[in-house]
Amino acid sequence: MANVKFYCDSERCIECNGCVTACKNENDVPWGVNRRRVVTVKDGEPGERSLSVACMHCSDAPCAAVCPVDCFYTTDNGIVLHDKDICIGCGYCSYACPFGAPQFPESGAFSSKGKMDKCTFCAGGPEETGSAEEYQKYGANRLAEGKLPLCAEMCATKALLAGDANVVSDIYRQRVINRSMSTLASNVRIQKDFLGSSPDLTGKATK
Amino acid sequence: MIANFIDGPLWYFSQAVFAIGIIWKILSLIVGKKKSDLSVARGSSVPGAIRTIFSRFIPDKGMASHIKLQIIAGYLFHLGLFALLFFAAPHVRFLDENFLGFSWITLPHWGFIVAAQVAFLGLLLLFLHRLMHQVTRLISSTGDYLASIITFIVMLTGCLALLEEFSELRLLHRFSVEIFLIYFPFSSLMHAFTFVPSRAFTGAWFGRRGIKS
Amino acid sequence: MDALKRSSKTITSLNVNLSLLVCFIVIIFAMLSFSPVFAAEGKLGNSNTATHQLGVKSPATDLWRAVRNRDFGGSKGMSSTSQIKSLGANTFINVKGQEWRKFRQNWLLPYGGYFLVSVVGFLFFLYVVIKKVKIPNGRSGKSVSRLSTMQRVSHWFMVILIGFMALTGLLLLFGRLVAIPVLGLDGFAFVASASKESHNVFGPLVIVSLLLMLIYFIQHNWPAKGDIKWLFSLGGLLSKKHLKIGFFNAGEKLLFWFTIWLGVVLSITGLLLLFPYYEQTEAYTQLAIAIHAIAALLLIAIAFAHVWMVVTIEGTMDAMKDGNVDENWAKYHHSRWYEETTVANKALDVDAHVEEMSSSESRKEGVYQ
Repeated sequence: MANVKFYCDSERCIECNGCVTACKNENDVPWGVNRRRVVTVKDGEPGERSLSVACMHCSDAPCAAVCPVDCFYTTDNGIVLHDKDICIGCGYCSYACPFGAPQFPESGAFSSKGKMDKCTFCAGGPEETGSAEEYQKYGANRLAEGKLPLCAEMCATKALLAGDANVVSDIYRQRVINRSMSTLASNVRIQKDFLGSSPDLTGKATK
Repeated sequence: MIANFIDGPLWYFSQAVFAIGIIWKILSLIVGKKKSDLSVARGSSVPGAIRTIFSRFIPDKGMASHIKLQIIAGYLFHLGLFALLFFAAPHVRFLDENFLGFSWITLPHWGFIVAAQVAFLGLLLLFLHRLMHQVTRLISSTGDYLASIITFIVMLTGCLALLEEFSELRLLHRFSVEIFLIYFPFSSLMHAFTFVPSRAFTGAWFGRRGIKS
Repeated sequence: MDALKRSSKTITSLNVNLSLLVCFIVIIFAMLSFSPVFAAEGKLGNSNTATHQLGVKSPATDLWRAVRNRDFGGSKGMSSTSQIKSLGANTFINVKGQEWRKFRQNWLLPYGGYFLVSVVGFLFFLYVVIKKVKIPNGRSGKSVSRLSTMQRVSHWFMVILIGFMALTGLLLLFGRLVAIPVLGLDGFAFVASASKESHNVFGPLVIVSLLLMLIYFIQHNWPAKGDIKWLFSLGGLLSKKHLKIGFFNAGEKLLFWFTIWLGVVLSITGLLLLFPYYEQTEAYTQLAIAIHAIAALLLIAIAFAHVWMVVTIEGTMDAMKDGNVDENWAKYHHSRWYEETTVANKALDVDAHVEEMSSSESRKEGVYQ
């Protein structure tokens, strides 16, 4: 089976929060729960970049390691899912997760945290695939319908990539090469300014 | 199988025992033989009855210094229990859906928890005091201990089921409530219903005799 | 700059292919990085690594490096924001989570487990090996009043609460290792849920029990002069003379103060954990869980030791049952207290006796008059 991954391209993300809205809408998540969020670093400074963050579906998931009731499991696709029938809402997963993926519906004094909710890579949960119960607990199961997570599918700038890790990394590698080449090209242009010659230096990877 | 029994027959049975038991007990109080008071009335009985119903909420001055713990813990327990029984959101919802068809204002989640903690504090201290004090230990019967323990179990199972997600815990709470309901009319727990007529009776008697109490 | 022009002229005269171009750029860039034009970018990039010198770094490299630096150093001036307003939403990568996981999985669970098992095993070994310390000369049948009703109430209140908290806490800590193989995932899930909810409800009551303990027992637990001697002779085991001990011996005092201070630590960290959304970051919560667990394991171990002591020394339990101890027990274990209390009691007895006599006499007089 394919090993699926998310990848967010910081050079393309424009912080439109479309992925966040799409996710909320598609999975019908309650108020206060955001399975995906966009984080902006150096907001308003030079070098500002944004990234869309959700569960990264780690190979060695910290949430699964620390869960006191062992409610996490990894699918054949490498998606980390959890069983809400077992979850007790203790919040340990949120303390271990580096990405802040686990979400809890309630807050306030003496908050009984309620069952944890997180990104499922639009792959539903342990309930019967496509059942109403699955949708109610875990949201859409788009993967079973042959679709990719909606956040990535509807990303306007194609910054957020989701799917088979090999395909995602191929796409990203291609982008990196192109960008490197354009960097090279700009460097060559600088060079030309210095040197004032060299007609052949187009800087393109392929002719 | 057990779940169906707890949710079905046992639930209806316990309700029936509770309702019939209480009606029977109160009727027996009303209908039962009373010794007629042949003495000449020195005062009116009705104001005395009403006054005593409320005056007994205030502890007796002479006793108060000796029974501080019972007063404080007793009030904590009863107020906490009252709040969490009638103003906790899950209980109000349950009454609304199963019996009444209407609801009222409920405590926020933290209020529910604080009420439960206050009630637990009072109940545990009262129970331990009953067990530890020489005099109360002597005058306590099995029924007194049993009533406290059953109340505690009902509260504890409710506390275990706070997440309201696991059917096993809900069944445990309901089962303990059923035991509580069945035991209720035959025990000192009946004071929840009889404390008003009992005080009224004493007050009326005192009032008639011209005693202020 | 002259050197640069010279070298570049010789190379540009060659036929250019891609690999040569890369080599050329590397050399050029290495030289240019010393010039003021690129010094600014060097500062921006915040590093002098090989990727920078190559000049074909991924644009995301700086981003990720900065993200990491922020989390490790904190003073790098990196700020991150998010439109989502929830706890930790602004944090990109919380490396503390990984540290917490390591602490919990590799340190707390194994060593905490070994600690608890070895303490209980050691105490069981002592229980089997060491004979019960009998009351010398047997029970006298006479009893001495030792503990008041409220003292016993507050003690048993604490026993109930700490016992319950320990049980539910241990289920949550070690349940996955111990209980899941027995009960199964679904079977343990509702036990764990019940444990978590009741642990949270009963937690604040522990604070009340600590206060009651303090109020009713602190008077007997101030350090006294025999305590150091008692400790150095391991409770009189090593001393030839029988030690004269007051109301509590140094061991009992240590138990009291350990319980109070560990209880305070547990209460503070526990309250932090009860209100997780009132903190700005999760770092405090992670630290609180770690401290809470360690303090709890210590307190549980101490409680087991306390139980072993009570079981081993005959007659000790009486004090907590009805407040009275046997006279011989008091003479042997707390001789100084026994002397003090009997002197006081005798004085009281005499007073009562005199009162009784006089009142009966006056009554008699009344009758005869």
